Amino acid sequence: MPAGFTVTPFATDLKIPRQMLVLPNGDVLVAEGSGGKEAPKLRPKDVIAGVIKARGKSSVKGGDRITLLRDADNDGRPELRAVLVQNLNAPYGLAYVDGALYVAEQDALTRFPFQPGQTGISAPGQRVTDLPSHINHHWTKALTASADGRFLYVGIGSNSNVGERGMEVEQDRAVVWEVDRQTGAHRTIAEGIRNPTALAVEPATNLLWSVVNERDELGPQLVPDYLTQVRDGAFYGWPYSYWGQTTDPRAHPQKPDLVARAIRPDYALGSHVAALGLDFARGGGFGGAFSTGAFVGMHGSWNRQDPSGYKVVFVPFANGRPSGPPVDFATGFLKDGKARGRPVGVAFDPAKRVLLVADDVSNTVWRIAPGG
Amino acid sequence: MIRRLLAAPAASALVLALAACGGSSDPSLNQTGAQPDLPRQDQTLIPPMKVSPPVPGTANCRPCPPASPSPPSPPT
Repeated sequence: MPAGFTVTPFATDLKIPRQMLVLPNGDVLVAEGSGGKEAPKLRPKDVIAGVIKARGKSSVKGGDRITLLRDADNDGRPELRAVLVQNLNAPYGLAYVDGALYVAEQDALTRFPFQPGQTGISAPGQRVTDLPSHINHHWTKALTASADGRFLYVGIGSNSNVGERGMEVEQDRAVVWEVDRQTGAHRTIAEGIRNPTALAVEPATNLLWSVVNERDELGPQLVPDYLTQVRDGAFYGWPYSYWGQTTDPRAHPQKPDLVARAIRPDYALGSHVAALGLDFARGGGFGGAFSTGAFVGMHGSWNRQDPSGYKVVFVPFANGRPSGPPVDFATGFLKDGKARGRPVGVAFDPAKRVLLVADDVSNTVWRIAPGG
Repeated sequence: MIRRLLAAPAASALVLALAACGGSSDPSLNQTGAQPDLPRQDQTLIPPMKVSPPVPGTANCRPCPPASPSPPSPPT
């Protein structure tokens, strides 16, 4: 391992850790679970894809819970570990605002009264709003809060690869919702954004960004997954086109009017890398080349011969925009064609200057910190 | 009956083998940044599928020092 950073297991024996949240007091929450098991397979190749994907997964059953980790002395060894909430329905996105913990389960956005420092929640959750869950081809519900805390943003993936289940099941799919935190009312702010798997607010501009997983079965180098600012009112093309206005012949009937207003995402991350994690360096990040920018967790490919992803990259930013090529930040998850881990969520803690990486194959949260 | 029993696994193996064919990428293509190269669409009956299986015993290993991902050199 190169000098300069140390990687250590921060927590092991988790049950499919996916997204994480660093609370204002430094405690770390880990959402554990796996959903979407009810989506029927339409075609023989869907069955095959299911078999192939299953080969890359942990055999551990999802925890359907949130685990709290406390490392107050920042020695990399949590002195407290507790199950904060359990019996959830495939929790994924997490947000904390003003005395409330918000959990995006696969079918609902739920609020729990919560103050940092608590190590358990016994009060029942309150449903802020239902989330689309019919079929749930893509089940994850990404979540973040606006900088002022007034709104919550929810990423909702498509109900198919490219519309093969019919567009009637794609209502409120491949979208980002803005949810009023107080009333639960929502409006769609972005459409045609196939599978927005993680959302985060860029700290210099307070603008919303997302990593998005694009469509499959057009070849090993189509279509690039991407990192983009989520623009209010934007249409990102799915299923009719990709990377702006490049049409996809599998989507029919075509919608030329929609394609005409499809915008290009900001930044390609590579095809089939399966970007699932996003967080921004804040407070100067790790300094130097890693002071401003986005950490992206890449779960890794399942549908090309030479694997892509299986790492964490850093995308440098300047003035709130990507400013250079991605830099490999954490690699080594693959060895001899086998996965020693698969990154999912990433969380940067500016106070402790550590990056946490959830890994749902080794069921570990890794801690990456300067030193060593 | 025996023939039928043998046919299903054989067909599955054939399909999996087909799924593992092709799908090589062109390293000269730039796939990142604001202007990625977008190659010709390549549709096949069975698209290439290959996932990297977990190292045996990876699940719940405690700890997994050999599995530690490698970070880059320190920032300058």
